[in-house]
Amino acid sequence: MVRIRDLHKVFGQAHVLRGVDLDVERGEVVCVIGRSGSGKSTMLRCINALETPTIGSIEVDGERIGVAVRNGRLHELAPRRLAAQRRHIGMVFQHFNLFPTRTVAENVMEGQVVVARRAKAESRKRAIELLGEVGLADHVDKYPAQLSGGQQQRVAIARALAMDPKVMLFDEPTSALDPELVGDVLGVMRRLAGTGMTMIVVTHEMAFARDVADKVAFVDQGCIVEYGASAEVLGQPSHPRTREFLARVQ
Amino acid sequence: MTSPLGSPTVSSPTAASGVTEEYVVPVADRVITRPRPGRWVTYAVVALVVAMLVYSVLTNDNWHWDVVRAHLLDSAVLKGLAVTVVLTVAAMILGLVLGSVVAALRLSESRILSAIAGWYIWFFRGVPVIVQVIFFVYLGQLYPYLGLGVPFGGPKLAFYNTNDLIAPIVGCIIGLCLNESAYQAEIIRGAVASVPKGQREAAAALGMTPWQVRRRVIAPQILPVAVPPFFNDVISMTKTTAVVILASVTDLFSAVSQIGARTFQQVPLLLVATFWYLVLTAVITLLQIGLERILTRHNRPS
Repeated sequence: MVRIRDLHKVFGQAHVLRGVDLDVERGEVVCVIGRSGSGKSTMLRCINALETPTIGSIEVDGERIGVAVRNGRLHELAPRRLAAQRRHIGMVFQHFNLFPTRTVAENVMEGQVVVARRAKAESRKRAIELLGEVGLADHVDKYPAQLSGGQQQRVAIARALAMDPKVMLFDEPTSALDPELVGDVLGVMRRLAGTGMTMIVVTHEMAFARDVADKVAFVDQGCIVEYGASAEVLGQPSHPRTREFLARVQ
Repeated sequence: MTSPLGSPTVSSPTAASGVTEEYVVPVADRVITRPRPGRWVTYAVVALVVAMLVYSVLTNDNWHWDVVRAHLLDSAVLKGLAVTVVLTVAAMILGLVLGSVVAALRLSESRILSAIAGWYIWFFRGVPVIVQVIFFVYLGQLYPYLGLGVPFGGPKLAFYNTNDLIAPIVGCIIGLCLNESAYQAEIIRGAVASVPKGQREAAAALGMTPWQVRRRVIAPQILPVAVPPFFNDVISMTKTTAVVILASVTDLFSAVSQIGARTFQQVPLLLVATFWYLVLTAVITLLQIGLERILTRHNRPS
């Protein structure tokens, strides 16, 4: 479903990603772990072209993201075509990024109405359905500022799911939450994983990685140092840097 | 908060239902407010100063309140007031439109376009508004004829006498709106910069095109930020329009000046103008308060 080949990203003097390869199959849940600044978020943000790769290719469901190949050269995509690609890639951010001037239901309707061109009534019905699934049926007409962080993050998940994505990207979805609110968000993600959704989750929640992820990728200094079944990577890490990292967080 | 009985209350949200009920603090638990003598002294000083001013204004006949009253609804004054309103509205609307374009250029990823907008803002904020207004009113001295046609001396399709095309009031509006556009560009640029980057990213991740992001996500968030400085400029503009007196356009200020000079009652007539400028400012302020209330709905607790 997601195929990353030789991905490099350079910001000015900083070589953040140094040749990342990653394959995620349909229905797989992959957790990406690693130290802050190791490049895990940058890698995730390249998948929906929020960052433009310096070198390397990314395919989602067989389609090359962000560029078109013509006569052996890469051409920047027109904004409209890039937008069309992103429509099928759901993303959940560390800081939720809900639209503050819109109600909870309107947040979940926004992409459906504006991008997918669904009728308002239909979009609202779907929004209420999804909000019910993430446990927020009582809050549909509130504004984001009236919700807790955990509630806001669950709205953000519903907002992404409303676009019927092929893959969901989570960029440290629980890092900005108070500890007692983390469980609710992880619970929703766990249920989502159970539905067969393809998920790539950048996280520091080792218990979630162990229990829910099919595979774990350990990123260090811009490279995927170790990638494999979660029990293996977390249980018997083969690389010394993975062992060192896991010893620190556990 | 105060209950209908006048006893101090606090709101206690009952956890499960989220319903808020009023809780009356028992008398024995109330904290007795500390005396604040400084406040009373301040009240007294302010009251004294105000009383002195009012007494002086009412007892000194030189203020000529009768003359003020006589000219308050003078038809020449009201006509001038209308011109001031027209100039303000026209300059602000055109300035906003032009300013939006300049702000868009300033925010462009192209450094060249951004720099061009930067120079534009520098120039039109830097040149005194009075100079800009007079320049466009007297444009006919530089270019007696304005035409449509092929540039650099090519054939002309149509051309007009500049002074016929640009009436003095039009020249005034051009000068005022160019000046205002530079300020508006900065207001809009600042407001756009205040929207967190994550908003744009969240919208893009949903699959919105750049135009949809601007219209659906950025615009609703810059409005509450841009409205206060915008209205600040509207209020400022009502008075800046007085420079049109130099182009022989009869606005509010020019109208009272003419009557004042004719009747040798300059000060009372300035009071007439002051009255109307204050009325305009009050109306604009009320509009601002109403608009801000609508635009910041989402920040209010339920």
